[in-house]
Amino acid sequence: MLEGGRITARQLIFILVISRLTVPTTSLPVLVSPPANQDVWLAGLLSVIPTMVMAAPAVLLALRFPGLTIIQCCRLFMGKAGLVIGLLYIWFFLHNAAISLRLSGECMTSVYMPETPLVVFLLGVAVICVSAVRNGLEVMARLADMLCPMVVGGIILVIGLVLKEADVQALQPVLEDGLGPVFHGAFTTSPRLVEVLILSMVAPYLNDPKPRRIIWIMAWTLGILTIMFVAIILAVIMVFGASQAQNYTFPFLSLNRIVSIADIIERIDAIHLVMWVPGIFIKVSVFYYLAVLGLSQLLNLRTYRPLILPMGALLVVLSVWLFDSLVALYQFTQYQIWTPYALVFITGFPLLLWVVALVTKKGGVRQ
Amino acid sequence: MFGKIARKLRAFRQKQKQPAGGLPQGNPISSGQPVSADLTVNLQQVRTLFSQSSDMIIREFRIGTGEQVRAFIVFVEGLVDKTILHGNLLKPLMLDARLTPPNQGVAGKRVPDLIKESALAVGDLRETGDFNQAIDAVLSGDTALFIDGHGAAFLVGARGWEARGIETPDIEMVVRGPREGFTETLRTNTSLLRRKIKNPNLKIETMKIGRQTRTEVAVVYLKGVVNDKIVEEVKQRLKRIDIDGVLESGYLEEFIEDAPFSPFATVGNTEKPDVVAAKLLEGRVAVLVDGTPFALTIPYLLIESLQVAEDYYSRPFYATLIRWIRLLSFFLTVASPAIYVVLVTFHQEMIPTSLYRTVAASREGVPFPAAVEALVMGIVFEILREAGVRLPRPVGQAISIVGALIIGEMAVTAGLIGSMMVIVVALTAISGFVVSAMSDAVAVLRLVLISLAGALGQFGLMVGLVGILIHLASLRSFGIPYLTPVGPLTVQDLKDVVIRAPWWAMGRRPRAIGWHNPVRQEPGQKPGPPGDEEK
Repeated sequence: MLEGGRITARQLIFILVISRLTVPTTSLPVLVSPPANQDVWLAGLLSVIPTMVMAAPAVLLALRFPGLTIIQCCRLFMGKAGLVIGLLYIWFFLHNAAISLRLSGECMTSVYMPETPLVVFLLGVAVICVSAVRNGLEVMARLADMLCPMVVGGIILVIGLVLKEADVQALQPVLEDGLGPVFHGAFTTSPRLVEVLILSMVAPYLNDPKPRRIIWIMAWTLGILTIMFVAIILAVIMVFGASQAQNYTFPFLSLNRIVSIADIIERIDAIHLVMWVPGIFIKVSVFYYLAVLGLSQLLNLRTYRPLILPMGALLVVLSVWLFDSLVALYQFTQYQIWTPYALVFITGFPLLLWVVALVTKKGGVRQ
Repeated sequence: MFGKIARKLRAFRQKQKQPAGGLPQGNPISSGQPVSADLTVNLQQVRTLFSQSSDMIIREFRIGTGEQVRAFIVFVEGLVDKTILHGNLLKPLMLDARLTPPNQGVAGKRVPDLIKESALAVGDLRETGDFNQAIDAVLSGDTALFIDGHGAAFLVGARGWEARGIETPDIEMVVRGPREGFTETLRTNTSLLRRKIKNPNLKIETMKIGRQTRTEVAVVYLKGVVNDKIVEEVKQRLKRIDIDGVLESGYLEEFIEDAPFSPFATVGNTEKPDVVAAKLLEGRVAVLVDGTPFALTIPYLLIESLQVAEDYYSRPFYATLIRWIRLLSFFLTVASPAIYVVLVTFHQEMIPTSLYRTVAASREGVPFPAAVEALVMGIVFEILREAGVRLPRPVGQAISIVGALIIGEMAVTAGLIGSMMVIVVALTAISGFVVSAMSDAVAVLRLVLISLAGALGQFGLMVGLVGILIHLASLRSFGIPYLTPVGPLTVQDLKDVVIRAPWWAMGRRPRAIGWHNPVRQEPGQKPGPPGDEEK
């Protein structure tokens, strides 16, 4: 057995939530996707529906092959093509980890310590990620258990503290451009939930992998995420106004900076770091872990440990080499590029696998 | 990394062991050998064995009148209660035996049986045919009686030696609660436990560890409550130990702990019988070692270093508040110098302006960077503390004068150290005393965090803290995750972590440890005025 650890459903929910929340607390790219005005929070709210549809193939695949990760499914019945798909997935996991890692480094250099080289931060996060991955899934799950309440609590605290600056007027007029752009925005935002793939890689390691449980996990994750996501967007728009918010590189961080209560609680960037560094750390290490786990499953290795350090080196190099600057990174993660790219992995391949399994009558719920 | 080094060391040790061929010369009494029926042979053996031991007393005598039976006793002077020995062993055998007229009942029986049944007026009498076992017992304080023509030795348990009385432990002080502490004598300690838990299920298994010292070690647990697998694991790990001597339970701790290279202890220790009893009732295992008042408790989780016996004796609100204060102290003692370094060096903007003016004024003219200042002061504090602990009490005052006046006051006046730094270090030190159970781990981590904070600011501090968290999450103590019940989260067990629930609400034992027999007491015992009961 590659991974001996077992995690609980709650721990998986926590991992998914922390991992997804790192994006809105850093770059919040939804602000510039359509409708790109004060209605984006509606797009965020409505994105639940397309997200459910897009996640469906992966969930169905996990239900049809309980005990198998998506990579093992590829190997089971796709032959040579499965090998290619598996490799593509490993690339995708590594790519995700590298993007998050780079984003964290960019945020550190541009906001906190502009004179320190980027690589220092990348290495700093990478070192703790290596140590987390070496300790395996169970330890990461335990960390999520502790960190998720901290991250979610931190976001709620920050939103609570800026509430007195918020202005509901900023949300008007509602539906300025009609419903069309809102639906478009809902669609382009949903493929940001790449965390669905964590589920399809980790579901076999749940201590109670009943089909009902997996659906339950997805429901809770979507529920918590939508509420937090909409709350963050609303807070940012109500405080800054839609057009000004688009100008900020890190809108949520700017939200932290304007907090000023009784001249004592001022500029609580520290709170942002306290909840954001653990979040980034969980996200990078989980995707990094998935890449390592996936590759060892693809190659039928007995243990994934020898792959950790080479993959970690690759991760750091990739995160330096992928983008020239923060602007390039933001361009890549804009909806024009990211949405189709992620859609292939989140929906495309799982759908393909599921249809092939259905046609060749592989797998199925044994009861 | 440490794990790798450990593996290499282990492989190296095994390589070394192989060519040696068998165990090296250790304690001479380790292999079995029967007691001879011939008294002269036995006597000769005992004399050879104890040839240069002046504390060993061998007393030869004869029993009865007519055809006298030769016999001798052997014991260690100082380990034996001589009143019992003289009155209940030597007197019946040497004098009373002569007075007894040979009547019907006695005539048919052999002398040794007679002695066993009607001559020795002692409660603890055993018989062994194994010569080495007899010698072992003598060394532990028993008296061995050898009789001619009898291929066995009687072991008379008349132990009695000078020992420290039961006193209040100097550490682990309580305002309210039992004051007695363990002593250096194993039997006294087990009796203290037995007096608290009067239950036949309280099992005390003893074994001997140490080639030379043959120290008695007792594994104590409450059968039916404890997880048998943990007991087995503890016994297995204890049996594996091959060491020269055990002088303190710390020797054993290092052999049985899960993470030998972690700064955090995965085996707990305490000097108080009530603490051990409480842990036994939760389903833990205790290991008592002869010769030390410190008992080991297993498994040991991080949260236990934040729980203090008195929490459970005082009323719950205050106990809860104090527990949070302790948690805060733990955080402060680990991180406060590092946080100060971060604020002063990298993030001045996070300090409110008026406060920053004071801080900046205090750092005026200080020649070192804040991180160096913090490191130096941290090390100076550790030196002062160590000196304070080791010095004889009358001289101890000198340390506080030197520490407070010269290092504190004069260093600030001379402009070597900022006065803020002195305050931060003092806060760190005081908080450290609040969580003294973790003082060793904390001292190391503090220095690491200061270095990281000095190099990378808040990012470094966060990386360090997350790194510590990863390490803590990866630890296990005898199979139980170290951060239980926080990670993995067990909501039910938070009743004794984030709060100290009142006793009537603690219906269940901690799930990770006491799942074997989860129900501690029946629910619904919340007290109330008498009127409520009628409804």
